[in-house]
Amino acid sequence: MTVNEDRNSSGVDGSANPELVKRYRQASAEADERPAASARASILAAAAREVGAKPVDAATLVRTPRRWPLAAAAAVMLSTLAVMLAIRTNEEMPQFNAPPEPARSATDNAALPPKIASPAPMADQPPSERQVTQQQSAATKPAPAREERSAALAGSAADSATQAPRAAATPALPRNEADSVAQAPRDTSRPSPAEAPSTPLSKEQEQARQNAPAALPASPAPEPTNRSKLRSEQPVAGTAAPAPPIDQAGADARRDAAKPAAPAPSSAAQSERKQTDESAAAWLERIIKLRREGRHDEAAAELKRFRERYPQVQPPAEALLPVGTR
Amino acid sequence: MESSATDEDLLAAYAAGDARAFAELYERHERAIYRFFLRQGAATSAADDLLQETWLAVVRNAAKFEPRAKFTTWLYTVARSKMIDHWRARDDTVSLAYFAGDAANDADESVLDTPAGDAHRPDHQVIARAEARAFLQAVEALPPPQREAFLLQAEGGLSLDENAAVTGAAHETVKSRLRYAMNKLRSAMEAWQ
Repeated sequence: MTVNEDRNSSGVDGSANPELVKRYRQASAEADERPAASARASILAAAAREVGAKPVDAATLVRTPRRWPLAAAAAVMLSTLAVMLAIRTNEEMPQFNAPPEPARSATDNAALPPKIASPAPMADQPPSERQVTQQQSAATKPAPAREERSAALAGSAADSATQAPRAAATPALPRNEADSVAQAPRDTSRPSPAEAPSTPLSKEQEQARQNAPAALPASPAPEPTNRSKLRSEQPVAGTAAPAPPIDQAGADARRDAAKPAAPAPSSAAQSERKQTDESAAAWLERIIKLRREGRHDEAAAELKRFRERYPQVQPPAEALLPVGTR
Repeated sequence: MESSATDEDLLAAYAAGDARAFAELYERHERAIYRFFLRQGAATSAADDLLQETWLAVVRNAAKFEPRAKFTTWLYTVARSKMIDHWRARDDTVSLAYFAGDAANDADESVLDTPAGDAHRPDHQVIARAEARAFLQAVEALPPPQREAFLLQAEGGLSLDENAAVTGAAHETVKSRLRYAMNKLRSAMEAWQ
């Protein structure tokens, strides 16, 4: 390392020597002098405090947008939707509509009329018939307004509790079914959806009923809606078919809520009464047919059920005794 | 990572609340100021204290800084003031020695005590290190006004006018001090040629 002693090589202003300054800087770099880390830290901390800044680490340099308000709003909305969905599902959940039925033979199945409950005591009835009987007994109660149904639904737990003894007698009855039973007497302007048949009738049976005489007891007159066709399978008060699925009942309930409560037209009442009479007539015809075919045991059983179902209807003579035995 | 912003811009940014601007500014001048104190005869611990006092003064007065002035001029003015205060508080004789050009040198000279014969060793790095220490020793041996003028130019990069503004001396006086300082340094390093 040499020192330029040439005065011409001095600094711009004639007093500085860049060579010496450079040499000095090299020597300082060689010495590697630096202040203590604590002094450095205290200076930077004081500077940060002075402007109200806080220590920043590398992670916070990449700022993430604040999304928690959006997340909170989404959580509230999803919770509300979940609650509403649960309420609605509870309201419209399809009923478990498979009450246990006694095993029947193939011939019985062929000879059986459409499901008609007998007025036998509850303990002797199958569960579906027991449920219908409960509905009919409840139908005598005064009906509250349709708008009160939601409030009644809120207290469905209490209703279920009141139905508990009956439910105990019918172990196969699901809770929704019990609810529908409990709700049935509240609306007497129309039959309960539980009264509609769960299985469609065959065309032969329909035809036989239409051809039957209209001399059977009358039933309450429903509105002239499509449901009247479903209810047409139901005979007089005191008889009913198993309940339909609850989704159909829910749809009916919505339709009814949209409609003002109006008295049923007399033509509809006549139509239903006629169809009920037709079903009884068809039953009698089937009994007579069994007699003619010589299946007297089956005919007698059917006749017994018919009398239990229609105690005020006098069966014709052909149905009472075997043909040719009189 | 240094930005292209000037010292003045960084100080203005810090005055506006950007602490990171101050960190960058401090990073640029930390060692130069520290060496300035060391070469003026301060011990390492005293240099640390003086460094803190200087930068704390910068922090507190950042908002008062006028962008028309050069930051380094202002910084070294503050540093020099702290240096003089330190001397005065410590020992009046030292303070007087500053003006008399006979300041005490309490820097760590363990390496500087290396005999000149070490330069004959074949290890060139050792020789270069010894030569550097000798040069620094020569700087520290300068009379304080000359040393100060030299350090303001070498460490702070100040021009004659800025040097004069910091020290409060006349332009020609600073020029003369610098010239004397250069001559002495050259003479001190002749043994290493």
